[in-house]
Amino acid sequence: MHDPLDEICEALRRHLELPAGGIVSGFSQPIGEDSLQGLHLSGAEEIPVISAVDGGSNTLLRTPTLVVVLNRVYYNQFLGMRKMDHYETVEFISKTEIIERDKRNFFRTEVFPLEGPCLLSPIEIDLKDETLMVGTTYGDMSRALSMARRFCEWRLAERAVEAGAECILMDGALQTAFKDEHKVANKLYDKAKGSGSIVAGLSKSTTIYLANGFPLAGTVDEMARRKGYPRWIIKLGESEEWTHRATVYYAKLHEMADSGYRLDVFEGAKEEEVEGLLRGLLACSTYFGYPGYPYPLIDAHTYAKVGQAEADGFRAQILDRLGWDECRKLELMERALMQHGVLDSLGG
Amino acid sequence: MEKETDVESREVEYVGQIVSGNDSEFLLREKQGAKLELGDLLVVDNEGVKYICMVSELSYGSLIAPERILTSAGSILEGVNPRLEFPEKDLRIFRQIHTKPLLEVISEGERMAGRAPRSIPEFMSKARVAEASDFSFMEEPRTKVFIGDIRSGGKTLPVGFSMDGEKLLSHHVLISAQTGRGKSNLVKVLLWEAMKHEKFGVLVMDVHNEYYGTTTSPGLKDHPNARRVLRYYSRSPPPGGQLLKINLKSIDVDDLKGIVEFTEAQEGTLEMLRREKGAEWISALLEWSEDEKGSRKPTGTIRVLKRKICNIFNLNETPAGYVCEDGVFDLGGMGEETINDMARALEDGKVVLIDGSSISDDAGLVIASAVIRKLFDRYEEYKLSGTIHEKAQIGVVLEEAPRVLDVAHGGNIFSRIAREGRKFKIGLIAITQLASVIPKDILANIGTKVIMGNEMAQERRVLVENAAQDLSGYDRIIAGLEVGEAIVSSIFSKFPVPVKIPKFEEIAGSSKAQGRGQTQKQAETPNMPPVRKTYF
Repeated sequence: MHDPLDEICEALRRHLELPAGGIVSGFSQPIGEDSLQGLHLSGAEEIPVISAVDGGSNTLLRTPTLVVVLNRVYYNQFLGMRKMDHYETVEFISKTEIIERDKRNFFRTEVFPLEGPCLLSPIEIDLKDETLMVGTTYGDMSRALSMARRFCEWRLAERAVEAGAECILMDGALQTAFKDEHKVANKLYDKAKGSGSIVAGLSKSTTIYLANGFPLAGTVDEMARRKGYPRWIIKLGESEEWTHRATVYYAKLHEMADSGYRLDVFEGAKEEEVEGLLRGLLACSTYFGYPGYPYPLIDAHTYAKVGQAEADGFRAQILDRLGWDECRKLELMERALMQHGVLDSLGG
Repeated sequence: MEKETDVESREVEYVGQIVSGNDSEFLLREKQGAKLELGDLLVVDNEGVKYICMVSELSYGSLIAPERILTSAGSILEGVNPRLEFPEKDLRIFRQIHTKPLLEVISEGERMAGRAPRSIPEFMSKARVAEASDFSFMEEPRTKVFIGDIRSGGKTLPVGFSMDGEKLLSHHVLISAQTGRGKSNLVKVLLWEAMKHEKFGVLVMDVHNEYYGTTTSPGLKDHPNARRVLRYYSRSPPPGGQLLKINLKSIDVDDLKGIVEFTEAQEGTLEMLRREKGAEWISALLEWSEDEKGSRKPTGTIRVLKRKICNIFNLNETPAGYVCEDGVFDLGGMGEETINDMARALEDGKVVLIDGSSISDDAGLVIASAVIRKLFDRYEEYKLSGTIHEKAQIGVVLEEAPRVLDVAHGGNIFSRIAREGRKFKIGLIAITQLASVIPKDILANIGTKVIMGNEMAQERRVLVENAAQDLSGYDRIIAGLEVGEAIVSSIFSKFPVPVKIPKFEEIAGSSKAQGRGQTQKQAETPNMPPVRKTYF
């Protein structure tokens, strides 16, 4: 009889016999060692001004059909590792609830600005919209609660372009997830194109894999090791998803980086613009606490983050304004979502 | 650093912000570039109350995983990859400032008043460096004795710290420091200040003859009141000084207690001599012959006692009898009134300075004991007659105090002063490196402790434990005190006061200058420090 753990190890060994290349799932062109390019540090060449955009949120109240979220979206400007004076913050509370109209249910999101302009009109999306469904399940609030923040990030990125950013760096891939989100994204792309700016997104983690079943991470790292590149980039190609108008790369921006990151660059960017972007990214990814990750994104994350204490403060203010009986009813509804930890708290 | 405006629209340079803590410690995040140091005084302004605190510990703070920091540091250090940067205003790395609350200053109508901390500032309050105006609540003491300028870390504020001389001396003072940290300078400053009032009698056995002064270095002789309030005794007195000549009849058996070790048999013999011969007990002891027939005195004991007495007073046997080699002690008729004169001078509020450089330390202590014993007897009578309040407050400077204050020597006059001198207006100024040797009950009786730099952990611990205020957490601050820097912990002070004691030469020099009529000029000079504020 075989030992199950031995069988697992056997499977792992097969998994670790990384291929020399292959076709990346979801992309059309094959990759191999020849596709990998070493990244060289720029000398006296100019680097572009990078604006990183990031958003943070924390839930204040949540029932199965209503969620109130405190959101903050922020962008900055960096030249290499040097932060420039210009930045902007938008802070708002979003309320998303399930409403009924003409015997159909919708997610309706409204925003209430706290700081900065109101960048969003109310959003209504059918509960059965495919962008919000998980399989055949619909009406999951957790899918909808980040909608307002995501839309606002696109809108604030537009303002960063207006403020003179040469490169917009979003946190995460440039994929759009919600109904009509691509329309907001397209507005940004159009504005960026008109201003000669470039829009990119950087993802810390990636699940991209090759059609032959091996993960991209590890396979490309091994290729780079064999080639002796301390920093590198590989073009994966254009995504086959119709809402995704980006060329996708996988890059390691610092020799001490723990891993490579997925880099999306909005379609249509010229070669020299991409080269400029890479020069800028290499110059701003030397933070000693996180080498290889662009410092403007770290900075944006810092200022966009909504802490628990902050959220608790707002929650308390809301509850303060409600009557005792209203609070009691609210608690009954919230309890329906708060049972996860009970079993763990029983110990054993 | 950038300035901000406070609630009263004043420009303020904040150096930190309270991020956690409790009523015994506030933890601040330091503003980048503030460069605070141990001992720095910070102020947190809240509505109607300001909190003054002292930096007691500095530490690093980081929001980055320790492993990453170590990897990056190694990379930079080993030159493996110098392409790593610290952004100018990185919020993830910072210094944490631990501070001890010293006191609260609250507004009481028009005036400000200090009190021991009873609350804590608002969370996230900002802190600034203390400035002279923060101590405007301090009040002028009745008979002020200047100790030093208030110090914020290594920086001195133009705010003088003075104490009431009566309270200071009556409740005893401990000056604790290691060699070279400025003990003697502080004593000189205190004596100089005491002499200003012409009402404090202070006895000083100056074992190194360093307080009087010479032609080249200033001393107490240069005090404007020196002619009236300084009595200087020396074997070779300068003009105006007194000849140090002590008749041994002035010395009592008790004066040797705690200074010379005696066996029980020796003590018994001394008691018998005193009983039989009275003031002539030393002469009788020296004249006793071993051939004396029928004597009840034990021969061996007498021989040892003779030797001990001769050693203390530097007596030599000659064909003409016993002679004091250094000429300070006399067995004949000279110097019979010296001890009385000294006691009387002290009673008159004078500083009695005895040049002890030509006599042994033991002999010096015996003289001091004789003077104080005499004075104690008189003050006991004044107390009984209800007139003690009219008498001058007395202080006794006791160098290497533990020697005569330790448990083994509990019966001498110095221990008695330490325990009950306050009732009789006689206080000690005990100077030592080893406070740990002083009995706990005596330490507890000492009202004011001037703590100067000390590298010995055990000594610091004893001082912290016996301070008038909670000094827990001051360990490193005390260890790091520079020459002339001190922390004054007193039952008469609302907080442990960090001070910088000025050099005596500066004080004596400025006083001389004032004597030459330069006070006015000094006041008109714009760069001169403002008038000193005082406390108590």
